[in-house]
This record gives sequence, C-alpha cells and structure tokens, in this order.
Amino acid sequence: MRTNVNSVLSNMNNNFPVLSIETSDNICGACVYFNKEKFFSSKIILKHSHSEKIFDVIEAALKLASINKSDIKLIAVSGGPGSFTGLRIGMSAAKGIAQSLSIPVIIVPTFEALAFQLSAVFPEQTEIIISNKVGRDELYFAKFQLMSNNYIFKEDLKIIPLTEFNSFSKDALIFGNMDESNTKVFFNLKNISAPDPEFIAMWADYYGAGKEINDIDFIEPNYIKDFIVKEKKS
Amino acid sequence: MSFPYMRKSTSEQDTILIADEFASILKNGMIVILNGDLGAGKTFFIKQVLQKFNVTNANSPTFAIVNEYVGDLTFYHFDFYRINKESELHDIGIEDYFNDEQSIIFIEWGNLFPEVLPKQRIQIKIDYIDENEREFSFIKYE
Repeated sequence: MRTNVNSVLSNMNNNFPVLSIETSDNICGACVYFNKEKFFSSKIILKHSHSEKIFDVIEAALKLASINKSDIKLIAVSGGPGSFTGLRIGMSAAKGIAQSLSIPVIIVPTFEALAFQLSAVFPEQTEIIISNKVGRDELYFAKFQLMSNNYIFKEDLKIIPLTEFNSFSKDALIFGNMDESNTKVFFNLKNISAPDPEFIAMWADYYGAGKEINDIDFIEPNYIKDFIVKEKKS
Repeated sequence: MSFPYMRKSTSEQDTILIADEFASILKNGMIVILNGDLGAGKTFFIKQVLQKFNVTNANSPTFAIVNEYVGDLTFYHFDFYRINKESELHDIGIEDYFNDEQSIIFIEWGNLFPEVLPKQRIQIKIDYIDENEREFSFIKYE
C-alpha cells in the first residue's frame, strides 16, 4: 500500500483529534491522537475484561489528553479480523460515541494496522506473517512485506486450516496468538497479536482519507468467518 | 479411563461412579460433546462431573445457550438443542470460547451442528435402555 502521505494528512486535518479503539484480541485500548508526535494512549491486557473496561480506557485516554469527549472529531476502530466478542465490544462503543457526537467512523483493518506498526520496527524487505486463532482448527492468516514505514500484501487475508500453517515458508517473522504446542512452529514475539491503539489512529491518519463513514447504522466488524458459514438445509 | 470406552449404568449411583471416573481425566483445553435423547441424562451426568470440581450451580443451559461455572477450573456448558442454524453459534462468539484453552467445554446436543465442533474432542453418547438403565460410550477424536 503506497500512498502519498502528505496529501492524505492535509485531507484529514478536520478530523483531529481522533479517538481510536482496539479490542480485537488481548489488548483493550484507546488513544486520543492529534498527530504521530502527540497522542495519549491507554491500554490494558486482562482476559475477559473488554466489555467491562472499554469505557474506562477511553476515559483514561481523554483524561490524559485533557480533552472532553465532545472534542473528538473522528473514531477509528479496529475492525478485525479478531475475537468475535472483542470486535463487537469495540464496534458497539465506537458506534455509540459516534452516534452521540454525530461524527464519522473509520474501520481500520486490524492486521494491516499491526503490519504498519511493525514496519516502524523491522528493516525494509522483512517478510512477516500475522496469524491468529479462529476457534481450534483454523487461523486467520496474512503475509506482508515491510517497506520503510509502510507495507505491502504478499498474501491476502484469509482463513486457513491449522494443519496448513506448518507448510508455510518460515523465512518470515511470525506474529500471533498461537502457541508452539498447537503449531510446532516457533512464534517470534508471539505475544504481539494485535496493534497498539495509537497505530489504529495512525493508520486512519495515513490511509483513512475518504474512508470516513457517516451512516453508521449498518457497519460491522470484518469477521470473515461469517461469509463462509454453510447454512444447514432444512 | 482409556478410549473408546463403554459402560452400562443401572442406577443413578452407577452414573455417579462413571462421572467420577471421567472427571479424573479432565484437564484444561478439553472439549466434551454429549449426545443422547431428551431425558437420557446428559445434564445429570455433567452436574455429577462438575461436582468433582466444586461446581454446585450447574444447570441446563437449554435457554441460556451457554452457562459459565468457576470452581477448581473454569467450565463453559453449551446446549445446542434450541439453536436453529449455525450462524447463531457464530453470533454468540463460539470461536472465542473454543479459543479459551484455560477452560473445559461441555456441549450437549453437539451432534446437531457437527461442522462447528473442533476436531480434537471427546464424544459421549448416552443411550436410553429403560427407566433405570443407560449405556455410555466414550470416544476420543485426536
């Protein structure tokens, strides 16, 4: 994904500060984001707590930034793939706030935001695989090549059987929430399976121009799994 | 207990003994499917197993779809009986429950939606013989 960053930034000028929300996996986080040199993040990692804590982390980020909720101009929400329940919690919070403030929402592709985050850390040309669990037998999978603070898809996002994972090229760095007992594969920094909330906002800043959604009634996360459900014939 | 395993029960007391034996092999990450007609004793069997882990509030989740119990371990207890289509299971986020390998999952009527069941599981079938007699069969899928 190559974009002229400067022009995008100027298009987005009216949209700051952004409130971003990340709940797709283990992180429950929010960020009040003005620009990449001024943002205020709040996040926790605690199992089964997203629904209870999401508004606390949002309040904490607002408090750190010393702004009121009504100052927010745009919501950027992590849109998946990821935990079904987690994504719905984040999306519901985003929709509720957007509705009450009459502001737009940008749905940020979660794996791309993580690739974007990793591109700031690893050298150019590094190949990375991001792969998180979908139930016990399947995985979300995408492969990227990192560019300088950017990324391109090497393999599109898809669902693969767990068994197929072991046959993939292992010259790439692998990130995800699996453990070795499931895959027999070594996960590099396996505790990184979701982007930090500031990178959800930063993705919206860099690539979000034109993706603002004002009619939010029917937006929903990218579950992927939904589309491949085989309905039982009655 | 080694699989496959068959056992007849001729009384509630017998069933409690089978439940005790089964409880001793349970550990976190396991998924247990229970199939059998209405009144075969699926919920009764699960209640007996859970008592071994100091869970005393186990009950049929037919209407709640899923119950969560915390005793010595964490348990999720599903009942697929009232589910009409597979997408309803995705709507309640069943993958998230399957992803939680720090728990044990029981699913009554799992045979109604075999395509959502993880490959690795223990499947228990309870056959009704007569009012007091039941036949239990245990199969482990790797």
